[in-house]
Amino acid sequence: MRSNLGFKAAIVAIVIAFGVFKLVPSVQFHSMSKEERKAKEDANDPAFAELKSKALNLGLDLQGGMRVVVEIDVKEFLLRRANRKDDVLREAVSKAANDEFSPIETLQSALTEKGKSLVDYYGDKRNLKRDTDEKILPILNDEIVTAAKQALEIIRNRVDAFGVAEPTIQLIGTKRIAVELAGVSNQARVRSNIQREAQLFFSMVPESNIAKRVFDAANEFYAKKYNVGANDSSKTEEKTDAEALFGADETSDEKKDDTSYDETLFITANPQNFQQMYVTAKNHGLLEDLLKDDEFQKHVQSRAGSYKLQIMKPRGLEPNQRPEIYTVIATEERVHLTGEGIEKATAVIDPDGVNQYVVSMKFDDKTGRKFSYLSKRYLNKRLAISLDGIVQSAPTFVTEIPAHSGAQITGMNQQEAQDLSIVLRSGALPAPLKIIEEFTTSASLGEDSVKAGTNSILIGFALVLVFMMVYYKKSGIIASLAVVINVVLMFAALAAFGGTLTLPGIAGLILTIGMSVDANVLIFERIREEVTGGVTVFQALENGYARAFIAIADANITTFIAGVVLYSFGSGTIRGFALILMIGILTSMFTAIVMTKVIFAYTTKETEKQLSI
Amino acid sequence: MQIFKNINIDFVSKQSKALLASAVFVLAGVIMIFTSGIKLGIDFTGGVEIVLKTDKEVPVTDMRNALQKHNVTGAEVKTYGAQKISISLKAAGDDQNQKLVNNITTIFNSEIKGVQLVGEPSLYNISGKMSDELIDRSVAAIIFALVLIALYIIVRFSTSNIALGIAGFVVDYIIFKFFGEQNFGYFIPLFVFYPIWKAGFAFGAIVAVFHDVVIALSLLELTGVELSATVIAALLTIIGYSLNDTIVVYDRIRENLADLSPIDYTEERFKENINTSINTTLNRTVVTSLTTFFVVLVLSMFGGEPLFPFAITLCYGVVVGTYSSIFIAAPIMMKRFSKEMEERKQKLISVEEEENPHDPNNEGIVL
Repeated sequence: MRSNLGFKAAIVAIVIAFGVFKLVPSVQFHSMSKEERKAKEDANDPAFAELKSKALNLGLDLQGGMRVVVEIDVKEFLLRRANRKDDVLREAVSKAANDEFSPIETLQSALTEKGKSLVDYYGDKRNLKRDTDEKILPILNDEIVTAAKQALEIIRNRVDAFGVAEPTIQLIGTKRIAVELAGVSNQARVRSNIQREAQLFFSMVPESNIAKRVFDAANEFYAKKYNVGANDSSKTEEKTDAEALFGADETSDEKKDDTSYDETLFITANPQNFQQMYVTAKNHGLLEDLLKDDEFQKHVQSRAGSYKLQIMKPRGLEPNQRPEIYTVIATEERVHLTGEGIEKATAVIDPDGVNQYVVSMKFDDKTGRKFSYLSKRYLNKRLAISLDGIVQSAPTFVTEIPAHSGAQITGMNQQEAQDLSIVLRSGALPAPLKIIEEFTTSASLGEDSVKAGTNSILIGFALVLVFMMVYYKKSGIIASLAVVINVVLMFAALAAFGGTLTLPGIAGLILTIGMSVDANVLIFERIREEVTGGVTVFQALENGYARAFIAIADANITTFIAGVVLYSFGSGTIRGFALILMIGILTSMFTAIVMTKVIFAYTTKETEKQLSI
Repeated sequence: MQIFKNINIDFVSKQSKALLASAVFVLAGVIMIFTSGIKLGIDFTGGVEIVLKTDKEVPVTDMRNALQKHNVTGAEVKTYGAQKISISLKAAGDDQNQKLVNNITTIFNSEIKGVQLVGEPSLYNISGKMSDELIDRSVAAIIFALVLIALYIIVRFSTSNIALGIAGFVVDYIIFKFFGEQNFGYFIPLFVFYPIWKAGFAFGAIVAVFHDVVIALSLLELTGVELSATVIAALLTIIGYSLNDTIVVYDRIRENLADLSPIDYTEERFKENINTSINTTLNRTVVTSLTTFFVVLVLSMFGGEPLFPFAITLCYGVVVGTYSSIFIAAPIMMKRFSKEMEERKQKLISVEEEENPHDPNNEGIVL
């Protein structure tokens, strides 16, 4: 035992030193106060950045933050991509969207069943006669993949502008994106910025007499659909739980089971000008339903031509005030410009308004020229600027606008304006994104978890130490030392791997403390047996360690296997637990087998007959 | 200090009673699980859980009434500790997170007077699609772990069956890769079953694990704990951990069996052997289980609500796992292994007969 003792002792010392060394950054980082950290972060201190990268990361469940996984809405994507839409397509697309692995193939077969083909809806318009399904299929598949990658970049741009330190944005599979923002508050803003489509459309507002036709058609459809005049209670829909929750969104005056419908939905604002009409707050829900209804659109278009109705953004509201009336404006279907043509968008304070901000958009050359041309051609007509289906403003082209100009969106507070400019700069999302998974913790709940975790570690630790010392006496002290070093090494290894400490991770730590006792117990029990067998203390130690080693290895491997399986199949937090479990097994084997032996060797005299165990 | 000094409990004789009792419990557990079903958490049903932190305590009934007043039904309301309210909605529909947070906050602010929310609500949401995937992954993980572990035990303890075991594992793995997680989860790994059956040690271990999982699940259901991803992680940890004990006992048995050559095998000596092995490892088994139990008990009491299902599963698992190592793994292994030993003995005897045929003319000393 004395032979390679020096060597072993050296190894133990090196490993422990290395462990402590690896932990220094973490201790430094986490002992700084929050304010200190923020200050250094803002100052872009490079030394600080390095310190941070070396320190142990805290998981979202410990420091607070958001993790959102979004998925490309394949159904919407396919619908928008189509040259035209009808019910056959809609049904086929629904089926396709449910197929995880080969949506386009499913789309094709669903269409074929109804006697149609991909070419019918997605064919190259310039080359329709020559286009075939076989050509289109891979193109569409590629487009979905590209859409996901585009969305990733767009989200990255939008999120970077938040100023959250080190956001994690990754592509998962072919159409999912995971966004992790540690320490962020204001969840609503984050969700909105990630999901906001930012579709900016510029279209013209028709003359009053045409607009009147549009509104008349709309009112006609409304009257027919809701059987206005008759008290039809069968029109009330059953409320499901989720619906009830969303219903709470509306003012408490609005009751869905109120079956008395107004005679007209759209009310004249100004008898001279039918470009805009009003809808009462009470009917807001109905209005939204109608605008989404394809039948409604068909009816309006058959009666009045290529026009549609859009809601205008309510203005002049207090922060939590709800509008009493909604303004609806008629616009052409045709879109002249989109947000793609915007080169720059900045939030600027409005010189005219009080505490108001505007987003000032500058067009690129091509779009600038087109815009200038529009102003010439449609002089004295109104332009509707709509963002994600809501018309922000509808100014009139009072004069010809020179080519190198832009446009403005007004009437926002600072945060709205900043967010909008970020979103416009990053571009419109290629397809809507659905949140399929989210984990959001507030900082205070995170702190609670940290406290709970720390308490558990301390109490558990204390219990184990006490037990060891009572049960194994002096040898118990050595074993306890091993447990302490074990924990230090575990933290160090986690930091070295760049792993993240989560709440299950802390649980894993505590569990490993309990299990690490196992290795020591195996050795000590063997030693006890040997001692009662009547050999010298030294020999007993030697034999004990030798015999126990196999048993320790065997026993720990099964837990290690469980750790490997958990790591491969598990997600996020469970992976952290699995990693700690595996690290813990390795370090506890090291401390129990190598380290304690070294200590025993140094503290036991060669001729000793008694062992305190 | 030693808990058990020179102990010699006859475990083997108690085996049949223990096995019978366990069988009854397992059966009861399986029936209970299949009839009333295990309570599935949001992880597996899909849905949303929102946790509000308040500056003062709010009685659960107040929140429940508030929600009902606004026509929110089907919400499960719980309190976590003194100042946290958890609201779970299992059929919340996809992609409604912001709306839900807004609405619940509005309802809270309008109905619960005099209490303020501390910080923003926490939210945990899994869509139906993701939860289905999670179910598949969890089942696959458990089965995979069992198969791997069985293979490991075969390799370590039943060397005669290694080839068979590896073959079975390879076939299972190919099937897994081919069909993907979705189908493998429910595909019973028949190909490994035969090697496990043949290998007495592995069979005992797997039966013990199965017993542990069923009993743990039954206990969870009895105490109203929901199944979540972390609970599955705890179950897998238990599987790994329970086998620790089992293997230590097996190790000892094998060590002692080394003195017993197949030809000298008798059931008596085998039983004696098993008893000694268990007795000598009893100290170690009890001590480790005790320390681990202390530690997970602390975790369940002080670790906070998010960790509680995880911690309590571990608590149940440690207790049951220790029991099963002694009273299930060993006896079942014994039953299977003794058959193996018998066969080997018979084979050796017949080989001996061939080499040294029994000569009636040369029997004993002729006086």
